[in-house]
Amino acid sequence: MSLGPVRPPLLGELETAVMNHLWSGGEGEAKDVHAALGKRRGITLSTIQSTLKRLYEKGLLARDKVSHAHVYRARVRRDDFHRDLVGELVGDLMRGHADAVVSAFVDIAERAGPKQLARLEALVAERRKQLGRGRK
Amino acid sequence: MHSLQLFLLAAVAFLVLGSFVAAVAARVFAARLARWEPRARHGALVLLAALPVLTAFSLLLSASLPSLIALVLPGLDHCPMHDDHHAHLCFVHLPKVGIHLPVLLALVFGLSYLALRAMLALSATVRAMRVLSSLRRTGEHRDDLGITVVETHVPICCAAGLLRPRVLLSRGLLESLGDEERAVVLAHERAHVRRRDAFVASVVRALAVIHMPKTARWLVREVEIAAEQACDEEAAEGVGDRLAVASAILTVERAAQHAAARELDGLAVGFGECAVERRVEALLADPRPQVSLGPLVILLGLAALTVLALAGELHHLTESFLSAIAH
Repeated sequence: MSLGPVRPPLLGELETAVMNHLWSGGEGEAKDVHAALGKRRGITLSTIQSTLKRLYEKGLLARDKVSHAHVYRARVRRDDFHRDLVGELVGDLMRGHADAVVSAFVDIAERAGPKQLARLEALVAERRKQLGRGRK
Repeated sequence: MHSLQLFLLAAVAFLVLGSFVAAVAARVFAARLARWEPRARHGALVLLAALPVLTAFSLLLSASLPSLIALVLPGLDHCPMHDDHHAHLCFVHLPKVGIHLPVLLALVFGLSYLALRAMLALSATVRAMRVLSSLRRTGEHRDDLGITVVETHVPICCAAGLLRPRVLLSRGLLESLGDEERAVVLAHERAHVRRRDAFVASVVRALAVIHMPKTARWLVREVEIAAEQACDEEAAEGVGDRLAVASAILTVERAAQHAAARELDGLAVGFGECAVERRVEALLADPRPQVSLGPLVILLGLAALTVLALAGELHHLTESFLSAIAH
């Protein structure tokens, strides 16, 4: 599902690790996530529980109560999350807010007109032809 | 406190003078710079962006030099020649009278305005860096290509990050590019990473605040285009084919046009004099000969030495100026 036009939530390092784990592994209780991430990082179960709760409150996770524990799963797919982040980044680039930290291969905020683009493509094709490297 | 006011006023006056000098230099040398090869042009434009600060620093140092000398050699102190109401630009004889209230208020408002603009820009930059950080950490790391793949169809490829930039490439673009085009795009972005272009561009944007508005807009745009062209040249040297670079630019531009029509319809996209046109035309032309920035740096160094050699005259001139407008 999409997060819509609202600015997507940003993730801290542990939140990212938890999301990556749930995106790859499907679903799990806090103790499963702790077994996969917490022990290796020296993090307590309660830290993992509060991270899962925070991600749930940010709308990135869904949870179901099974027996006495919550089972968490990603509510937002990775590609939807990325699409919303890229959408925000593109919007920032359009408004000149992100130019300081991004060097894009072609300028996001500026498009060549259709005639300009056709003329340039024709020039490149002509040059290829001259060089005997004709290519479709 | 009065001494600080005078030094501050002198610094602002010198910055304004420096921005005039930079505006004149931009007007006089713009056509010549356009003929330089992009790496040297980029360096020259960065120097031009720093010109108001360099000018203000040399002038302030020169105007303060007699006072600095008096600190070390009291025998050369000339201040006793003036009365107490003189606008002493001096560390030894602090002025008794400050600057006029309206001038002081204008100074405070001007500096506050610049500080506010800087803080707003910084806040937007920090948010953008956090967005990039989220993309980098949740994307697929392709160590074989040295990139992070972002799961979106929007055709985006960029070197992202200020101090430790990394190449981000969208899945849509990665899958739509041929091998040669992908090699070009990655060589171009790696050149940005190596050159730290985003960091340099952000420094230029910060320096642009003290330029005349028209010069500032021209400088920021020209620095960005020169950086793109410098990376185009490095990509062309890497793949050994200038035409392949031109072709890859047009492929990505075409994909971006489709995306702009399809997915970015809520956002205004500018048409007009276009960086892509300049980049492709430059790649179709023969490479420009190498230009050394050495003579330009030597010229600036000589100008700074001349300003320092005129320290006595500049000191008196500055004090007269401060007395006229401040007291």
